[in-house]
Amino acid sequence: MSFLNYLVSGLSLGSIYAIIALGYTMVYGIAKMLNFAHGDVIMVGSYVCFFAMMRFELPPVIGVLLAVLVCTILGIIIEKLAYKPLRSAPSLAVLITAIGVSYFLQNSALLLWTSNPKVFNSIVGKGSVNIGALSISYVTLLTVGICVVIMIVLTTFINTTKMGKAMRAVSEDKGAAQLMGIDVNKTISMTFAIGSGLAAIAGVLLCSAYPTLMPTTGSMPGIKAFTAAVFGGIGSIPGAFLGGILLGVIENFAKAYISTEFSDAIVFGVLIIVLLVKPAGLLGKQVNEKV
Amino acid sequence: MGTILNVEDINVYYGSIHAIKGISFHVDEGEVVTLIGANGAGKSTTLNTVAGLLRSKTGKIEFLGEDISNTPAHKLVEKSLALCPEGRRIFLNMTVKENLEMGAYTLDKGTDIAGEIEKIYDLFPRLKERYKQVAGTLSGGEQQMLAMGRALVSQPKLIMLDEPSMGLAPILIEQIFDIIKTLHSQGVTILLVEQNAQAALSVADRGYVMETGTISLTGTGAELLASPEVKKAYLGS
Ligand SMILES: Nc1ncnc2c1ncn2[C@@H]1O[C@H](COP(=O)(O)OP(=O)(O)OP(=O)(O)O)[C@@H](O)[C@H]1O
Ligand SMILES: [Mg+2]
Repeated sequence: MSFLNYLVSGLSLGSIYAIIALGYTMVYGIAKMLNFAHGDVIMVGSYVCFFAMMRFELPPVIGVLLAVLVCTILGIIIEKLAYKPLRSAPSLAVLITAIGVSYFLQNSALLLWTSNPKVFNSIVGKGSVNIGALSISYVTLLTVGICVVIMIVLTTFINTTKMGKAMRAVSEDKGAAQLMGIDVNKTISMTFAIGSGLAAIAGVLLCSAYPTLMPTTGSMPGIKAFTAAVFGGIGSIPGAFLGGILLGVIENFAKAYISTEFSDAIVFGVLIIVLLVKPAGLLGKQVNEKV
Repeated sequence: MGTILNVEDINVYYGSIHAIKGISFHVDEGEVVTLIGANGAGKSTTLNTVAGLLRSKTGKIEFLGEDISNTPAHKLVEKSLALCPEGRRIFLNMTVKENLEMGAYTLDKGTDIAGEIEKIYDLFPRLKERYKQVAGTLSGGEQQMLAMGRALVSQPKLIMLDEPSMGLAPILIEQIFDIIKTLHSQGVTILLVEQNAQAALSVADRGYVMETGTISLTGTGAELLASPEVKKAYLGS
């Protein structure tokens, strides 16, 4: 494989990280919490799509839409039952709860679907586009394309719509946002809905590229995407995008040119170096001190 | 002229700290009423409680005849009650125009929001010049104008201002008080919290003096300005 091929598959993996990282970063920006169960929502989305396609023989598009729907609702329920009661609790309590929700989802999946890996059928055909020595699979094209579309739609939503601006207001100052008449609880719920819907899309794309589906499928990509969000600057939407893409590319190059076993260590090493130089991440804002 | 705001026997706590100890006061339509008092007297706590950000353990708060003691903060703007909080708390990463749009958040879909924002620009021409600028880059005076403008976009029946002159140069303080007078002449009802007792009592119809969670003195602006206690404690003479 050539350099370009490694780059392209890195971009594809990075796009998946970016879509997951958007969920982490939006929830962090608005609810000021790390939703460690986010990775497991990916897994749930993948199972929903898997069963829709394999068991009920529905077309892939319907499978994806069902996955998005289920995860959106799941996100809203998780927030309402697990996190909303802890709104004024210490952040450590919220963090532990998030870890608990993560285990709950994984163990529920284990009970429902067992630990036997399922072979996920890609939502697009196996073919690829060849340009000279460079070969780009349909899944890769779709993944990168969807990531770009999500990025554009989300940025436009946040910057131009009333709801999007309200989200930015809540992320800056919840009290002041309430004084504007913004319902903070509704906004947080909405953020979980969007993040979880995106997680479902990421899950389907992930399993289309790496077809083994298990109850723990979401964990590692979840952690990597969280790293990507921190790398790009947690709370920043362009940061999540940039962080995700860079992480995917670095990981793939590390695997190709250095060592498969050490690729994760290299990825986290780069993260540590970036955070030493830029503690708020690549595009993160330094925290504004409140008067 | 009816009573717009009626606060009766409220007690507010921060954990075990008893910050407001059973105070009562009222604001009538068209009035400028001021709450003055030393640091930590409980002025901000009082305004935040009326705005629904804090809760009183006792008594009641009536706004336009309706009991709002348990109404969530975000529902009060619609009911035409606005608070311009201490320390301004504008959205620093949003532009001037976006901040004002947030002030218009509860206005009905049909409302001419651009027109309402234009009215704010008439009051604060400086904001119009800088409408595209990110609020964090405004000067302190401009930030205060934005905070007041943002609270006024929804055309509240009562606006509560928490130390609008804090940290401003004398010339800007004068400007802020001129605007308060303008609003007063337009019939806007104002509840004003100030450390600058002299200026506040000069524009106010009535005032209340707060001392460690209680109201120690009340009267018209002129009466309080002339009162020996007020002179001694707050006017430095
Ligand atoms: N978040 C809080 N937690 C605990 N105590 C608080 C909190 N906020 C205020 N207090 C206490 O409540 C009392 C009243 O404070 P408040 O901010 O209402 O005073 P203030 O009259 O507005 O003072 P200033 O003029 O300095 O703004 C003070 O003793 C203060 O220390
Ligand atoms: Mg105060």
